[in-house]
Parts: sequence; C-alpha cells; structure tokens
Amino acid sequence: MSTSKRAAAQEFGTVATELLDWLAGLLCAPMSLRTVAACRSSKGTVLFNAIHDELGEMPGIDAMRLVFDADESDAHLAARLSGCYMRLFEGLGGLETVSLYESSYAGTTRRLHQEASAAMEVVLRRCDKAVRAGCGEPPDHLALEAGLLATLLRVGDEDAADELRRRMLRWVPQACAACAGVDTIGFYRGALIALNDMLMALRAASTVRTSHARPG
Amino acid sequence: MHARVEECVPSGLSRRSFVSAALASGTFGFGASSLFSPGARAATPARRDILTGCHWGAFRAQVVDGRIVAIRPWEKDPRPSAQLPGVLDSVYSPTRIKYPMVRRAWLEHGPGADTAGRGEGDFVRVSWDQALDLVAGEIKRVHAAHGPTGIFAGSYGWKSPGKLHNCQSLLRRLLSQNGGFVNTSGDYSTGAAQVILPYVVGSIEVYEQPTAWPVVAKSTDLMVFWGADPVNNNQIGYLIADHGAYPGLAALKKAGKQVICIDPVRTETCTMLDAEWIAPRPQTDVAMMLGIAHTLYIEKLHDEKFLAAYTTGFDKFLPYLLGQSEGTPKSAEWASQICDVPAAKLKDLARRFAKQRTMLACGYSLQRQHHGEQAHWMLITLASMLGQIGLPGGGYGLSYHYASGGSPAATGPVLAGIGDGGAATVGADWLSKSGSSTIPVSRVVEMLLNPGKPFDFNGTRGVYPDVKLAYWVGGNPFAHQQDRNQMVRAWQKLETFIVHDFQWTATARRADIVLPATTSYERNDIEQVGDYSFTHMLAMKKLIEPMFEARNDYDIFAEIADRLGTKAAFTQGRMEMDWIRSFYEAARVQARAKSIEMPIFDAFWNSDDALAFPVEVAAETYVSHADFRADPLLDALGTASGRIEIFSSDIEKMGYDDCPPHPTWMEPAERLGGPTTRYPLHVDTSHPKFRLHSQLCGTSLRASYAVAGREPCLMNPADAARRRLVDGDIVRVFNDRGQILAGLRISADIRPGVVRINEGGWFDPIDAREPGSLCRYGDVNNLTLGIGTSKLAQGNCGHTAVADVEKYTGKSLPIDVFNAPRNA
Repeated sequence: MSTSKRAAAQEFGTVATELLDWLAGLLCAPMSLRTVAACRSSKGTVLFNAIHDELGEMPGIDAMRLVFDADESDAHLAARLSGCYMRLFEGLGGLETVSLYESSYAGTTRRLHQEASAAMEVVLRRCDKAVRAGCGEPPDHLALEAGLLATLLRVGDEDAADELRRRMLRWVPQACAACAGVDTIGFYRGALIALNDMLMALRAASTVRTSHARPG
Repeated sequence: MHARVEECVPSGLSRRSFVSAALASGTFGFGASSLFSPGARAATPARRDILTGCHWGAFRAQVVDGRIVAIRPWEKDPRPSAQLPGVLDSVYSPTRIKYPMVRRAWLEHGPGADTAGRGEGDFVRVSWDQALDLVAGEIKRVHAAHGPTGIFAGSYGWKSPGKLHNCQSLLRRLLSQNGGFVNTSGDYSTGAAQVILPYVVGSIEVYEQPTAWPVVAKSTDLMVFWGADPVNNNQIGYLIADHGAYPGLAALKKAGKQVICIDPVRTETCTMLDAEWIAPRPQTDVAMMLGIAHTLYIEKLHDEKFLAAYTTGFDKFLPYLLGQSEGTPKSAEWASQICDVPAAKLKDLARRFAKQRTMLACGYSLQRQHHGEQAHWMLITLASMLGQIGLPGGGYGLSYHYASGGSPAATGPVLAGIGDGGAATVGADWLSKSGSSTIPVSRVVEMLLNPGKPFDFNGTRGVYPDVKLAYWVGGNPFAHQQDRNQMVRAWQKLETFIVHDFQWTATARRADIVLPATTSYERNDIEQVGDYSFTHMLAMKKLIEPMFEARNDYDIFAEIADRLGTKAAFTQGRMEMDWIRSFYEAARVQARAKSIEMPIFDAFWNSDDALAFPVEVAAETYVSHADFRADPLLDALGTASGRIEIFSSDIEKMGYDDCPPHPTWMEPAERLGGPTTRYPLHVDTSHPKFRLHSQLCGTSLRASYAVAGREPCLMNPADAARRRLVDGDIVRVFNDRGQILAGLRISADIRPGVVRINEGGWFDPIDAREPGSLCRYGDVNNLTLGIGTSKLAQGNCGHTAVADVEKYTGKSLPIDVFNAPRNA
C-alpha cells in the first residue's frame, strides 16, 4: 500500500473487513459463473475502482483484476478459474497442491486436521460459534479462519481478532508463497497476496491502537 | 470508457458504505463469515482409546478432540506391520477426495464427452443431490438403452475389511436389484491357479489352510519357499491381519530347519531365515521342476506307491517327462539351459527333497505369468512324486505367504456379511457369483476393446459384452491392471466411469463422477481377525466423524437405490448398527452349535477388546490332506477321479493349444533369455514392503523407500555397470508397451538379468491424454503384458514383462500424482 494511504488503512474499517471476508469466500470454493460475470461487469469495475480509492494500491487485487480483464467469455474464464482452483487446492495438483489448512504448516506433522484444527475449535467455542452444518471443512481452513476474523472485527472483539490475526500470520505467508510459485493464471496468487496484505494492515492497525492506548 | 465511481454510487451513500454493502451483498461472491452459525458445538470427549482393525492388523487409536492423534498396534498382535503407521496418514491425507466431483466435459456435454480427456483433473464440485441424481440417471439410461450388459461392476480391489461396508458387495447388491450388470470371476492373486486346481486336486486350494505352522516347525526338515516371501507378504490380510505366520516362521528359524528360497531376489524371508538362495531365471519354474522330477524318476527316488494310490495320469505324463512323446527328455541338463540353475544343483535338490521331509511352499507369483496354470500343477505333480502329501511337515502348501496361511484355526463361527444378490463363496466374498454375465477379471481391457468378440474360458465360450458404463468402488484398476497404455486406450471407450474412493488415486482421476467415501475409521463395522485362523471377532468402532463431505458407501448406495425406487429392498429397513447386530447374532447361533456361548451384542460392542475364540489342539496339529492320505476313498478329492490328477481328461477334452492335459513347459511370450525376447531384462513386479498394492502409496511411508522421489528399481551391480548407472540415478525403464521413470537402487540381492519394480506405484503420465506417455512416478504395469495366461484360466500375466533400463537425461519432471503440500 502507498504511504499516503497507509495512515488511512491503519484504521482498519468496515471496507477492509468486508474485503477480507470476501477474499476468504473466494478461497472456500471455485467461483460460480454468476460471480465471475458480476465481477467482470461494469458494476464490478466500479466496485474494484472504489476499493482502490478506499484502500489504495493493492497488488493482489490488481493481479485478480488483470485476470478478470482477460479477453475471453465469462463462461470460459469461469471454467478456467474453476480448473485452476481444483488443481491448486483440491488435491489434484500433486506436489504442486497448495494446502489452505493451517495444520499443513504448523504443528508436529503435516497431516490435515491436526492440532491447529483442534485449537480453532476452541477459538470457535470461545466465540460461541460453530462451522455451519453442510460446510465440510475443518476450522483451520484459511477461508474459515479469515471469515471468523472478519466476524470478530465486525462485532468489535479486538482482543480475539488480534489473537486470531497473530495466529494466521504464522502460516498464511507460507501458503501465499506456495501459491505464488505454482499459480500460472495468477488469480489465486493475487487473492492470497491481498489477504496476506490485509492481515499485515490489521497488524499495523493493532500496533497503532496499542501505542495510542499506552499511558502517557 | 469505465464509469467513474462517483457516477455510479447511489446518491446518499458514501463510497465506503457502497463498497461494504456491495461486498456483503453476495453479488460478487459470498463472504466466508456466512459459513458460521451461532452457538458453539459441544466439546467432544477429551481423549478416548478405541480398538479397531484394518488390513494391517488390529490397532488402538488415540482420539483427542475428535481427531486421531496416534495409533499403536494391538497388544496381542505378534508382529505388527511396518505399514500400519501409514493408516493415520491416509485418513488425513491431502489426497482425500472431499466433495462429489464431476468431470467438466461430462457435466457440460454428457456421457461420452471427450473421453480422451479423462485424467486431466478438470473437475467441477457438485452437491451430493446433484451427484446422486446423475449416477441414478446414468444407471437408468444405460439399462434402458443397453440392458444389464451395458454396466460393468466387476469393481475389483482390496477395499477395506468389514462385513457391512463391503463396498463391492454393496455395489453389486444395488445393481442386482436394479437391472443387473456384468461381473467378473476370479481374481488377480490366483487367477490361473484357482481355475486349474479344481481339476488337479478338486478345489481351488489356494485359499485353503495348509499344514499348520507348529507342525511345519516340528516335522519339516526342508522348507522350500518357491516364489514366496511370507515375511514380507504376511503383513497384510484380506480381513484383519492376525500375523499368525510370524510365530511359525520364528519357530522354524529357532528349530534350525533347512530353508531354501527360490526367487530371483534374495527376499526378506531368505534373509530372516538365513536361507539358501537359488535364483533361476524368472518364469522358468516349470522347467526347473521338470528337471527335478526327471532326476527323481531316473534315480528311482520317486514314491511309486503314493503315485499309484493317490494320483491318476502319471503314466500319461511320464512319456512327456522322459522325452518319449516329443523327443526332449526333461532332464536336469535340459532344465538348466532354461532356468539357469546348474544341472548338478537340480539333481542335488531332487535328492534332498526325496531324502528329507520336505514342504514345498509355493507363492502365487509363479502363476501370475503367461502359462501360469502349469506352475501349481507341476508343483503338485512334483510333490506327488515325493509322496509326502498328507504327512506331517511334508507335501505342499499354497498360502504360507498369504494372510498367514498355516496359522492354527480357532473353533468358532464365520461372520456373514451384506449380501450382493449372488451366491457367495464362503470366506471369499470377492468370488461371489452375482451378475447377469461374467468375464474373467483381468480381461476387462480386452472386453472394452473387443465388444462382441468370443473368448474361451475354462471349457466354455463367452462373448465380450458391449459395456458403456463402469462403476468402480474400493479398487484402483489403474494400478492393478496390466498393460497400462492399452488400458488408457480401452478406457476411452466407456461413456461413463463412476468411482467411489477416499483418495485421488490414478483411477479416481480418470473418472467422470467421483463420490467421496469414508474410510473404515469414519464408520462402524464388524470383522474377524485372521483370514485362516478366525481367532477373534472385532467391533470396528468409528473413530472420528466423516471428513469433509465423505459418506459411507452404504448410505451412498441407499440414496441411489431410493432414486431407483428400490431403497426398501436395498436397506431392508436397516441402519448401520442394525446390520452389524444381525451379523453378530447370526454368528452367535453358529457358535452355539459348536457349544460356544458368545456374549450379547451390547457387551461385545462395548468391550475394550476383541472377542477371542479357542484354538484347539487339533488345529495346531492340522496336517493338510491327512484325511485324504488316510482314506482316499472316504475322503476322496473333488476331482473326477477322486485323486490328484496329473493328467486331466476334462482339460484334454477342451483341446486348448495353450493348456495341455498334463503339466507342460511352454515358452512364455517373453522371458529373460527367451528365444524370441527383444529386451534384455526381466521386470520382477513383486509386492512392496511398505504398501498393500497401491494402498498407502500416497502417504509418508513412501519417504522410507522412494529413490529420487520415485518407485525404486532394484538392479544387479553387473547390469548397472554395463549401463554406467550408479545408485540414486533416475532411470527410464521401457519396452514396446510403455515407459516409466524410477529411482535406481543397486544391490547384489537380485540376480543379473532381472530388475525389480514393485507393483502398486501410482500412475502419473506426463500427458494423461496420450497412451504411451512417460509415467513420472514408476507404475510398473506400464510394462507388463496384458494377455490371459491361457484359454483355460485367462488369468493375469503380471509377472510377464521384459524391458531395458537407461539413465534418464531429459528435463526434470516433478511428480504430479501425490497431493502433498509443498511445505510437507
């Protein structure tokens, strides 16, 4: 982000929270044709321009917009992005699969659904929340951790949000780097970069808040 | 020209509010926070230790907060398998299939669309409802258009143990109740032997109890493992492995008995027992046996009385043996030219076999090759000439290497399982006789490539059906089927391919519709411990909730049955535990008839241990064929004559040019040193140490054996030196049928002229569309021959392959088939 906008972004407001939530949603499942079409419509363009005006330069969003601007039909792009998602995240990409689970990056083994998953269950209980029935993912999925973070920010639970943000910054940069190495289309690489940048901005905002709270 | 933000934001709304509202609206995609519901889920019990079982044995799982965190072998397992740790990896593997998936081309353009594109991995996630509608719709469509022979549900594979969640029985049950299907007969393990042995000894025998290990350890003087590696192969069981062979092997070693291992590789067994290693050319065992038999006869070491009393047809076999019928005596010298074992050694073996109480323990490998029917027939003929069949510690045994055959059998019931609509063979559910028509199991590729073509099989003539849909559960044919590239071509003929699995195997990647199934650790079931011993009955209790959107095969098929209007027949109104209880109760009735009182079901289910059944003294002193030897009339064999048939009139009547009426040496299509063979190396495709076929290939166990990340290729130093290869090289192994990469391991534990690449490595072609594309990982069935063993059995020729090896110097090719996170 540009320096001039950093001060503004330090106050991590509702726009950033909604953007964080939206990015997380993109990582939960491939985008539908309808979503792709909406993002590529004139309204989508307005929206991304507004995000830029609000939050400043965001290389990850720019990378995603580049893909949305590709010279192909909505249906063709949606199919390509869906295939990309499957190869990157759903186990079909072999050794080039990017895991979106904290368990793969933390803990004593690299198996899915390990200590990180259990720890997130505890976090959810503390927040009096549960992963909705019908969602088959364990709670250490990046989309769920980011979605919970957005929820905590909305309700103003700063302490819990800070704790979750710190947790995520221990592993999301690795997932980001993993995706950057193998995403040839660039869309999901951009999404992860943007999400990681949001976490960094949140950290900066937390630092500012903490320093303002120090006794004089 | 793009609209300016200010012109597009509704008046009265700030830019900030516009963005927030737009993102939250769902128009541009949903936010992940919508995936939460209010109210915390109840905490799961902190820690539980639960006993369950698998092909690798019984084990206790430590479950913490709803996750399996550790497993340890059952304390009563005499020799836990080195493969067991892979189980935990497979449950939590990145290769898990999480959601129902449909191949994009099939989803958008219907059955038969771009079938060459199978394997490219372009799948679309769908809901369960949509997936099940598609499956049911396809079954209806194919039945309506093509009848029952339009659907193939042979679905061969090792699945998981358990009497209810036997996915293959469930598939056949569904289709038996809904229009029928094409089934298969036989299996890949003993395809040739199980067809010929009824003519020789009156039963398939390969899955029958041999002489018990305690008897062998006590009474056998000379143990001969012929193409058998019990130390390696007894790690697994088709049911829950009991590992009962290992105390027997230890006792054999402790007793200091002589052991000979006849194998191109110095096996684990050979090493453990410090055995004498004899390494003939592969696929020449029948010639070697004939050379030994010839010596027995010439030196009058054979047992004439036994042959006269217990066999028929030796008089018709003898002219062949002596060369009177076609001019070539099958002498030790003749045999030596073929098998590359010195004639003096063959004669020495004959004398030692005759002089001592000898047990010929034959592995299945000998018959998994061209003309494989001859191997077991000749072995039994040799044993007959030795005359020790039915004596303690003597004769032959065909399953010492498999699922702990020889482990003393308990007295108790045999658990029944869910019926598949056909007449099951007791203790061998995969040999069930359901289906509207049947093909020999390994002829599936030939069937797809040649609809309408007649084929010979076991004295009958059938016609290959014109299959449009294949439905596969609990198996990985893109691992176990021979001639992979021919298979890739054949699979393009299918209009629809449906797969249930829990992992993205090579087969699942080639499906059109993929349904995520649970592992047996995510559901309840019941099973027995010990394929031959049945020493215990085990409550296979669910360890964790199903992962992602995986469902039990039983529930999946019940839903499909519902869509087909047959749910009531399929489920009989029963849920999972109702079925399990019914199997147990039926076993209780059986047990009572044997004066054994089993506890009530709830006591069994809630117990912390497996239910044990007694092993009587008679079981520990069991001698195979003792009854037949004692009274060959009263306990006659099931052959036409009631005796061991060295010459078979029934086979003679068939008139097959590739299966004569007595044991015969016939040149296989290709072999090391064969007269027409083009490639210089035999490819040994034996069972791996750290996998059960292809199961567990996608786990961290692979790190313990992979070389340069690939399936190992074991090679003799002389062969390596000739090719300027060094340990750790990535090599290309190739023949006319295909090519694979492998990681080289040089060892003197393999004879010159042979390389070993274990079966079960996952198929990983560079170009999934292109038959013949280089397999990056090392699936050895790219190289094997896909023809039947002969017109009699049409068994598979998994051990018939010759090839050459060279250093791979092409560009670096990362392996794509395993879904390990980059940071793993």
